[in-house]
Amino acid sequence: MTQLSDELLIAYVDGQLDKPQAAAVGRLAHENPELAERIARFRYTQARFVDTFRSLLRSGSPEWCEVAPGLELGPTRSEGILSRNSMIAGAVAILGVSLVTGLAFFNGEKTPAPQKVSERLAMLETVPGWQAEVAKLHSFFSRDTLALAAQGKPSRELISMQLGEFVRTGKGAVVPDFKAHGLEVARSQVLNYHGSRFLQISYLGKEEQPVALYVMAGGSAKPAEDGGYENVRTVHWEAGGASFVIAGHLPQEAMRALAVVAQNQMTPRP
Amino acid sequence: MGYASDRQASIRSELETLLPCLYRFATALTGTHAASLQLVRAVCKAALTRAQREKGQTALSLWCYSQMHTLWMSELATKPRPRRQDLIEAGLFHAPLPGYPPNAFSAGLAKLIAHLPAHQRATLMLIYGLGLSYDEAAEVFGIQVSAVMTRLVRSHAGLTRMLEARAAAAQTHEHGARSHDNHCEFEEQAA
Repeated sequence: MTQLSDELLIAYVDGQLDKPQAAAVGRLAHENPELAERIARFRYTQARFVDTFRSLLRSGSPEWCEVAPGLELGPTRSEGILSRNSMIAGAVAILGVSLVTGLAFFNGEKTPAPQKVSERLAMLETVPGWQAEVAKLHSFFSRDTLALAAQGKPSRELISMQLGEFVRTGKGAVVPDFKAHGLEVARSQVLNYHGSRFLQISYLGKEEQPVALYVMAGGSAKPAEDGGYENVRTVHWEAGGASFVIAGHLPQEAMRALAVVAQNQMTPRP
Repeated sequence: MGYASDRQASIRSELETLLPCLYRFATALTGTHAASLQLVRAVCKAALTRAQREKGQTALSLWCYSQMHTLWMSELATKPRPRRQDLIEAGLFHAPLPGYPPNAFSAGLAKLIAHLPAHQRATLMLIYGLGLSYDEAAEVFGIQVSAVMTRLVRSHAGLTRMLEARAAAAQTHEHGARSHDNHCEFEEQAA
């Protein structure tokens, strides 16, 4: 029996040893078949654990979405999502809803339980006019907004999982990659528009203002159309049960090109 | 940048991204869906109110996992007689594995994981699911790295035992089937 402990061998298999230590274990394993067999066994069990726990993390069932409504994890006022008109419209809508709810309460009707986000996403039709509002939102969005996010590297896998929730693949979705166009993923966040959630994936180049892809669940199939607000140029389309807007301070042709890249990359290959 | 509201917005946004990981770590700790949701809500609230002044240079994810562990331990301490495995939902750990039939090996593995002590399960989730290093996992639990390694060894040993038992059962089944075939052959010859 080799004197190396199971703890050490598992640490070796998990890649947690220093380089010299790992090299020493590797050499010993090369010389000693019994040790090599023990390592192979640990590699096998490690692979089973990794497969299982990674699959759990990737699994499509969004049980964790139930957490979000209780926390009200939406945008803060400082993020400046809505224009003044939209805010007034929102306030009127809230007053209306409160009035209806109040009447229902006095009529003895039971207040409906808050809907789970996962259910809401499944039922959602795209909120009309959100594409135009997104262009306004994007006009407030600058490199400074992303300064904090730029310090940490975003996890592509997690962004893919988030995107999967919006495009309803039930698993991770392909996050459009604009590296060839000099843009890197900087951050993703879930925002709120009139009670409907949408995903913002921001991309940063070396000097330009950020470009962002906005995704909302709902929608059928509509070809790409141009749009914009002040200096912000957008292209929006609908595909695969989701609605997309790509927005940036770039010329319209450049935005169209990015939209085509995003559409091509996100279309599932047979 | 640097205003409290900006920092809170950043934490909020980061929490949104972290939710799946927090939920899975909570399931590993608690073993039930309902308790996991409560735990995630509690830790998110703590993060939104306290993280910006408490976490220092620690990554928000590590701070949250650590808080989650502390909260869960406090919760257990308030229970007069903590119930062990009777409430664990094995389905929470059932993930079909590539290359295996969905309900045979993976169900067995889910059961094995569900029956592991909560700390072993949570350690496996941190290291093999969330990709933390041993040092980070030790920091989350507030223990020595050697204790993390011991937990891993025990979990690997449990899975090895399960695999051996399955292999032995399969061999017995195969042997039984073969002797049954031989017996049939013999009967046919006799006929």
